[in-house]
Amino acid sequence: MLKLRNQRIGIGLALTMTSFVLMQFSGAVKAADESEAVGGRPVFNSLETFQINCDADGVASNAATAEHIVKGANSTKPGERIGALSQLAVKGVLDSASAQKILQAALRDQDANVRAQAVHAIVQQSCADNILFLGQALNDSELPVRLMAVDNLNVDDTGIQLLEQALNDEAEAVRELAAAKLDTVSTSTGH
Amino acid sequence: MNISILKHGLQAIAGAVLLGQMSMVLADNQAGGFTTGVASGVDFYQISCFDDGNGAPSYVEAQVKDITANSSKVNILLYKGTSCTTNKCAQFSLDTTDGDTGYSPLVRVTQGAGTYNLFVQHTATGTDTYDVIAHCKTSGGVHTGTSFGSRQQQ
Amino acid sequence: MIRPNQFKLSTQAALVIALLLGASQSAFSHTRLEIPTVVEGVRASNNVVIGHACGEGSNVVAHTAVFPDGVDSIIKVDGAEVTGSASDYVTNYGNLNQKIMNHSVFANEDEKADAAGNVVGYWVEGGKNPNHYNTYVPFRSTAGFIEPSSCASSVKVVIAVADICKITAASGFADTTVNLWTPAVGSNFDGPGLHGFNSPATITYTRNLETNPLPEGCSEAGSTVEIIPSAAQLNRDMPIVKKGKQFWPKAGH
Repeated sequence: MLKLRNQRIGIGLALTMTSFVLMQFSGAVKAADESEAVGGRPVFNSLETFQINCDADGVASNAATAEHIVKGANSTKPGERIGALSQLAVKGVLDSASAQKILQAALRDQDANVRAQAVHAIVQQSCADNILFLGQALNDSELPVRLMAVDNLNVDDTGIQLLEQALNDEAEAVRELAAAKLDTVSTSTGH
Repeated sequence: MNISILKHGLQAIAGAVLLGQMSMVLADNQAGGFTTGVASGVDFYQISCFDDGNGAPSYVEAQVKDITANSSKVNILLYKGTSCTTNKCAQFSLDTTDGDTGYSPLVRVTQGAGTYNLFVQHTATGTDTYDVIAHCKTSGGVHTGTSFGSRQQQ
Repeated sequence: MIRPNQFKLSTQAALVIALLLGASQSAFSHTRLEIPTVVEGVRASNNVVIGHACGEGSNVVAHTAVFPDGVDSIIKVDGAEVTGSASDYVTNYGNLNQKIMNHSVFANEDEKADAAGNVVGYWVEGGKNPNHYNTYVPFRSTAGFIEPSSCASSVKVVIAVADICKITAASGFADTTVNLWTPAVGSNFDGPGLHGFNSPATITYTRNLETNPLPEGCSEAGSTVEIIPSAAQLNRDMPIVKKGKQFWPKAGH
């Protein structure tokens, strides 16, 4: 059972759940409208309307680093945006409000590798509802996003369910990574 | 993976001009990424060293930056020649901390002018984006003629 | 009735005209490289020289060149086609050439790259080379290394070039619309019957016998090798694509 630590998290959770439901609906409509196909499969950003809710109390530890991250996140070059988001995988490099803003925008980035890096950073930033978020990311049309979702799943009860779902992914790499992670369960339990 | 020597592409080369702590894209940068994501993916480049007027090449220095933060870490294997006694024919370098602005340790293979082979690999499954820096240098450490060619992208 | 003097005047006039035309022809009657031969191991700046347009009064308005990509290229040794790859003869074959930017005649240009990101050619457009002029289109060749274990004493790289005077569909290729300096390999750009047929530009790398002697078992003179772009590559890489849209040849037949 989910315990609400405080009012803000409760509201955040409600919003997230609502967004999740709305996103499912809009995603279905969007899929029908998608005209850009990648390898025959319509491009579908499963996280486009997902509202993240990250810890709002953090402050940046280094102003110069923070400035560079913000600049990189706004670059026109995908490589720079990935680099900036990868640094956000460490908590405290940027104040939480700015981090949330950057990460939310990154979920709508046109480049799948940028979105994938945002997935990792959001999980590392301990934003709310990671398991919902990762479950949604597993439905994305783009390999980098799904792969990063699998990479960030913990091998616990809920994570294992999603990893087992990923064993049926169309991409070899996703199946490979999910199987490797599930193998660690088998190894650790001696089976 | 796509090169771009800026390339590509590759797919274009995903070079980025960054200031301050961030990396400078120079003529001897090679950007790429593991687009298939499989752990066994290998990208293969050839680095040609020649005298561009700055002197006869003696060695190649190279290092890699793993740009994508995830479980997988990118590494390089630089190789040339079969006379591996006085000078090593092959060197390995791993970027243990992906997601930062730093590169892996700089490694050197000293086998003179000609063509060096550079393999880029990663330690686990992941669609890692990377940037390789490689320079051909004279025995006095002066940059000399350097060019990249892409042989395999995975 | 034509009077003899009238005829004689006409003939004289014709001769004068012919001489004038002859005097205005460029030294490069075909599109070729300024430096067609380079020693291995040396980087060289070079130019593709557009020799003329498509007849009196015409202009070359676009131009493209494609180098064999070494992926499915045709390899010939001493004239005979062989199996194997370009890197069997040039160790670092691939991405050896890079366009040097120059807007003195053509305003727009870009390189063409293969799936691995290696430059395989370039295009220029947005300008005019008059029929009686030459234009130098600059590019740079990085050092090519002849494979030490091969018997190649020289490696000739065949380059497919098109000097375009009028943007037409492939069905409109004619001596008045395009000069195709391409190898006859069965591509859509062979240009059978056109005056440049099977007359491509080439660049030849010669072996440095002092630093890279022929190995044992080779003939004294070594072998002459050719690397020629395949029909499939030319069909894919010859078209000029500008901002994602094919500019030449025009779509359609």
